[in-house]
Amino acid sequence: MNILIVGASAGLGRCLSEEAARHGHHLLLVSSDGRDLAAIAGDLHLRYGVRAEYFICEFGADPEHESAVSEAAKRFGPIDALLYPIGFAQQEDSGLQDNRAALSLVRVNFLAQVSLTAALWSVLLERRRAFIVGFGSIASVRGRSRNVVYGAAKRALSSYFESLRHLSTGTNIHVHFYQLGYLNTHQNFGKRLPLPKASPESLARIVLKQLGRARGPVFYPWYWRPISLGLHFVPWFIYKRLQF
Amino acid sequence: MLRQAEPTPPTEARRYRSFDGGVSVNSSCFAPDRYRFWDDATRSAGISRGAGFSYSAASFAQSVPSVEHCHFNRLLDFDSETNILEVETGVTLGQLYQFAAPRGLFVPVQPGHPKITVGGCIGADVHGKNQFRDGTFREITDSLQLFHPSHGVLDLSRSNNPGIFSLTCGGYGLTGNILSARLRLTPTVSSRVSLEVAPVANIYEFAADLERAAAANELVYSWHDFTARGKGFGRGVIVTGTFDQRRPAAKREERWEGSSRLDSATVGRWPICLFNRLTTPVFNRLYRTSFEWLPSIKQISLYDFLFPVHNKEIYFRLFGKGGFHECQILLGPTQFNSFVEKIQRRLERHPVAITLTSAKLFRGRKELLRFTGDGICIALNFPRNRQGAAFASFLDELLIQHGGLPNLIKDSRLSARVVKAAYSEYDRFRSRLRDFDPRRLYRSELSERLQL
Repeated sequence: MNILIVGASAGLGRCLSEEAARHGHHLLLVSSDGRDLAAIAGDLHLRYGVRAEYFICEFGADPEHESAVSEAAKRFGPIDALLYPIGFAQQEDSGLQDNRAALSLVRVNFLAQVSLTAALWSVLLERRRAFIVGFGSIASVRGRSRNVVYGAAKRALSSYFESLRHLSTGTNIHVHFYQLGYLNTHQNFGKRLPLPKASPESLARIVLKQLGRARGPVFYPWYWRPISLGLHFVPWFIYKRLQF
Repeated sequence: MLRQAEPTPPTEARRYRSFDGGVSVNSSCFAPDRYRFWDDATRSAGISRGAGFSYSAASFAQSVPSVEHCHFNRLLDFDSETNILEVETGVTLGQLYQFAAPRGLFVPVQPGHPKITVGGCIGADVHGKNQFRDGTFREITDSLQLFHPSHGVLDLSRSNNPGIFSLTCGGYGLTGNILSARLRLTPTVSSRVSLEVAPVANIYEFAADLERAAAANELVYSWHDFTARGKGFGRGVIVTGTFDQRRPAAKREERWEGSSRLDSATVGRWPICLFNRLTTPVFNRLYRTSFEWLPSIKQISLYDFLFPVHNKEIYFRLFGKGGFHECQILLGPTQFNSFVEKIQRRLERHPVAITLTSAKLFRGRKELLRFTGDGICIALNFPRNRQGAAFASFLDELLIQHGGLPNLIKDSRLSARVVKAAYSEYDRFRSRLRDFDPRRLYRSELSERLQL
């Protein structure tokens, strides 16, 4: 398969790249820093013998970049799978930031996936089987006073992927969506968190193994599903007092 | 997955312990996973840390954050004509093996555990199975990239910044963070190695055999029993290894022990030390007898040959939470017998549970603080307790008397006084380090203890 991985330079994206290369898939890696991408692409080619190319793209900056990625994907060859382990959070995301900062969050966490999927949808339809995998966050389960725009963008993404699943019914395209809890990545490095950090390597193995198996949203680790469900039922007069 | 906009990269608290258990400190670390970490020169002057297998505390200090290179563990480029492999310095020797073995190649100079990183090998300028023939890790390091906040990223080699290259290979990480290196791999003729074991009656009669064997074999070392008394003191074996040319190089790697759980944090988990003056002679006798039971020539895989420690990890755990001493000392050929004789006399008066004594032949030019030179390298292991500390101090004085060199990376308690006395280029190393880095940004427990 030819796989396009957006946000491939670190954390879950890097683990997915490695796992995909281990399975012998050819990769087009997209991220914002060419130094990281060159290192990963070189490594995967040397160790697994796969074709690994990369494209540098700053998604938060300019919508033109997304069309450049879709062009690069078309040049790479027919894409069979789109993986979106991309995300961007700001510490000062109170919801009161200026338009530019808020738009940047929305672009990276939501709009980039929308525009890339739209650009490559017809390519995917031509394949015998094709896959789109998105990654949400438990931060989007219920609104709170931290990660305000990030959480909203991820909730939009969750809704978008539900719609994509609906749209892809009866086609060759399989759509998967993972709601992620705490992962042991640089994002959570040095943080004391109330629940353990899950392994991104294990998640990458699951994602590649589950390709093509039609399922609803998957919570990872699993225990975030009951927690998420529980949060929905916390009455507002209690919820508004919670600090997390 | 998530790109976080942060003013400063996060740190995490760590309790670091030297592998021999001699030093434990609370410190902190960065664990960068992107190259942009090195863009901001002001924030990244932390001492580099690889796998933490150094017996000495070279990769941490109480007051200085460490920079863990675990995410910088990628193979970058390979030239199949010259067999030069470019890697990030968090790459482990096991990863190198996985890449090289199926291509009929190997790294001729490497220590015995697959989790040790390339950066650590360069920083300590380690030796391998046959230093006499292959030299130290510097010999196979073609060039490297070094980051230092005051200098940016420097390309170093024998022709480009040769002075800093020389200072960095065996510089214990004090010149900066080594980002990548180009290593020369060597073709193997086989994926199997024939080991031959020859008995040695005592420690005084093996030096000539060692020299003959070192010239003709990939692997040469001797093992001796220093708990034996009288004429049998130091009896043991000489082990030599050569590639078995009847078998071609493997097309695929034979195995990969990625499941090893040995590291500096877990090695001292057992509450008590099982080595003492009663058990150690029994242990040594059994070990020596095991050589007699086994055939004198046996075949092992290339993996077992390169990483002899991987299936003997329990040995380190048997020392318990107290840890152990390793004193590795390089002696001139004419000094060796006198040195050992004095050890024998000392042990007769004050027995110590010497769990391992091993010797290798060395060759090289003494320079800066690199552990190299002409002579015989002898390594002794013993438990870290009151008798052990007294014996280690005795060895310090003895090596000074005999003009020996202690291996700084193997002994976490060496003092500045002993190192100054032993290394004639101590002051030159120190002044060259200050010429390169007048602010002395890179510090570790080792550098503080040795007043570097």
